[in-house]
Amino acid sequence: MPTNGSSVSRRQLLQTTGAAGTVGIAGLAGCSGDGGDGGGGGGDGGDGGDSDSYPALGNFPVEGDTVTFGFNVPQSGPYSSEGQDELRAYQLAKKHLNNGGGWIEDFEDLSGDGVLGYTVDSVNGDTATDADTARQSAQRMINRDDAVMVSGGSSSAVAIAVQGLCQQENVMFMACLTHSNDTTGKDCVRYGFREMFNAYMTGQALAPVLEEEYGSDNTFYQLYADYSWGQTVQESMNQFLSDVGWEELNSVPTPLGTSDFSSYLSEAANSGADVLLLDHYGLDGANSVSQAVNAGLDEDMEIVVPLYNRPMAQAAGGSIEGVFGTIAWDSQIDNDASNSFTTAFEDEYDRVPSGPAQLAYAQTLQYAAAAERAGTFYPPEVIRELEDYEYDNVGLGQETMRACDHQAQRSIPVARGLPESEQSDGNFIDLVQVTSRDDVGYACDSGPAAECELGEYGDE
Amino acid sequence: MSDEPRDATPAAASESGADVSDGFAARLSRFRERESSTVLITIVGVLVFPFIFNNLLNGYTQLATLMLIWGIFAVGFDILLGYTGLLSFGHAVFWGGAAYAAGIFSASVSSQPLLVLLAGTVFAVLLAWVVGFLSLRRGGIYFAILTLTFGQMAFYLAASPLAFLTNGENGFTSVTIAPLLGVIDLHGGVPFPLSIAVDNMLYVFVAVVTVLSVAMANRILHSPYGIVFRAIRENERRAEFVGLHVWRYKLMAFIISAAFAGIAGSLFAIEGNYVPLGSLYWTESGAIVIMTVLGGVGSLFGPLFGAGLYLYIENIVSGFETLGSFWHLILGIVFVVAVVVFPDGIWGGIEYLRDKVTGGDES
Repeated sequence: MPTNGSSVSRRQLLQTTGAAGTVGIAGLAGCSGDGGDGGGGGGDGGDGGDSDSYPALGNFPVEGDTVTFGFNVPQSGPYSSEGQDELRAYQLAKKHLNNGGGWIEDFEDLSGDGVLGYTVDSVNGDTATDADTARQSAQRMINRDDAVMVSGGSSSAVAIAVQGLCQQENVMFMACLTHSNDTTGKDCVRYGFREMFNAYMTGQALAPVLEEEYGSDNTFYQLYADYSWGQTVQESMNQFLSDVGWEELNSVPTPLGTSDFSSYLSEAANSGADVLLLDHYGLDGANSVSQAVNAGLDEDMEIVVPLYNRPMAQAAGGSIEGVFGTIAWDSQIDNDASNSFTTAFEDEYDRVPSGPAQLAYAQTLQYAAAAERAGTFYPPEVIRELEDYEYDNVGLGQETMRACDHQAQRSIPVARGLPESEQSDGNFIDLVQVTSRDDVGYACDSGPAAECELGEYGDE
Repeated sequence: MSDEPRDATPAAASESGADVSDGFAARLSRFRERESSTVLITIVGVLVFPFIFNNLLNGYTQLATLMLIWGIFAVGFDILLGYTGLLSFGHAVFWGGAAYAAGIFSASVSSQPLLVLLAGTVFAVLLAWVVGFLSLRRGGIYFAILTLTFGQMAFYLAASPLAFLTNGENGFTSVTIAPLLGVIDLHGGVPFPLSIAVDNMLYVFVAVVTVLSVAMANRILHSPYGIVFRAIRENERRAEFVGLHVWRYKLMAFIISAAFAGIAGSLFAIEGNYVPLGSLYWTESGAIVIMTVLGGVGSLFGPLFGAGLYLYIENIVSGFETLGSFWHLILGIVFVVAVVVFPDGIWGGIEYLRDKVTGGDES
């Protein structure tokens, strides 16, 4: 972390530069950049050109010999266990970027001795799963700690709030777990990139599996969390299940933070539907599944939780048995990248990584690789490197980071909960299939992408 | 008394002060008694604050800006809690309501910062008139619960039925702010003479509004109107017997404090270019109570310090390496210690120390 005195005077200098833009002061800014490189010593020859060829923008140019990433995760609140796992993955990514290991060998752009000759440093923040807190925390990373990239999130509201800030401050945001259609839909920004799939794609991946398992003319009933994320899941599930010939009997919103779902569940039971969809996440999801099973709903209807993850399955315990849903990633996915990440994570922390951890790790390395390809941290160039980038090295087959909405086009794992007797060692789910990216996704002018306007690069 | 404004009887105090001596303490007390010196102290305070905060306290200008914004909110809240003696537990509705009103106004009517500020404040005042009219039918705990109820109603309305306006849980993301008066970019740097102290135009804008707000609060509290507020706090029935229309004064105190919340809420929307749904949640109502009590109820400057300390723990301490994730606990401990050791808050503590140094209470 830079000392405060120098950080303040540098900021003032840069801001004066931006405001005045005179030749003399611009020359001064060049000097300060060069001074930083000299102090670095270890910096390679490219650095000098780095700050000369592009104007100051956001937290570019990077001062000194370290580059700072901001890791903004929930350390308190309902998603804190996921946040802990994300943080472990971020720290692992930092370690690998500086010292090699993990995926570094498979990413041809990365060398394992920092990024662009700079040592990677990081700052952490607590989002408390609250959009406002997350935003303040990201603001601190950007303004005080001069982070060039912020990553994190375990809630769509958080991701949307933080990526809006990042767009304003010209700092990159690499989204971790955010599943709402809006993140790369109507609230998308130029400076934000999402590796995670969204509710729309969950619908596309899950509907065929459900049809195959439960038959084609079923009726279904939805309970959904009554806020933006729940609403997009409800809409998308309805759309794609209707496409396979299912009929929605009713969909009922449940207020944010409901802990007792019994009245909603008894209505659902009386509806006579064949399948019950519980569009809840986190602790709410674990609660509603457990309560549904305890009330005996699973005897007459099939239960589906469109998005779930390992901690949620763990909290639901035996109730998760046979429940279908999509997950971000799972260590059971058998390919080189997945296995090498699982091994590296287990060696470091002696535990199985969760889906959000893989997202966190992948997004950090993805940014570092893009900066290496661009040859600079200048954000517009890094963004252009990521746009329409094709890759197959994060464990989910061939992927494209699409330029029109910054949504990764990728395959989606569909999972089913294991019975309690088979649950062990962080293994609560059985991987049913990995739906290929050819079967999911949507064109740039349809679905959520139709509403997306990315905004400016910052160098127009 | 430490919880009284300093110059309830300015004329009398300065007369006696002039007679007695010309010592340092006396001159200091005469200086402090003038209303213009309160404004002067505030101006100096907001000028040096970012420099001290950024260089000595591990801070950054954007957080300093946010501290002033919450400070304005807290100063207004103290008019209600500290001076009139009414505990509202639903002030988030004015803070968040104004923020949403300002944000929606900026996106669909005009993005001029001054008009946006005005729109948010007017909305808060009108809302306070309705909420106050209904809630002030009851006193004490019932009043607190009623305001809390209205606050939570607003939260759930914004979360879902009004999501087409507010963008629901994702927060209102389309705030657009034009340059101030058409020329000054609020998110840009500052010209030379000011740049020694501050590095951000938004801070200057918020600081000016803060000074005006403190001056306004000071004026209100030193007017006969403010004295009636205190009379109501001390003994509501006696004030009634004197012939004062107590209910009307209470409603007015409620509306005034909501106006401050409205100013602060609008600034919050301007500052962040974004309105989070959480700005209407009851925890924000709780936060403002804690800030005010922490700073010192019934003092003009106390709430500013309370807001600053609260946000410092929330945003700086939470980033510490090991202690960071315990910041909620730390905040709780600080609050308990402050209430036990300094019942009059931080400002009460400062006054106590000052009286020790200057050799006694002059009032």
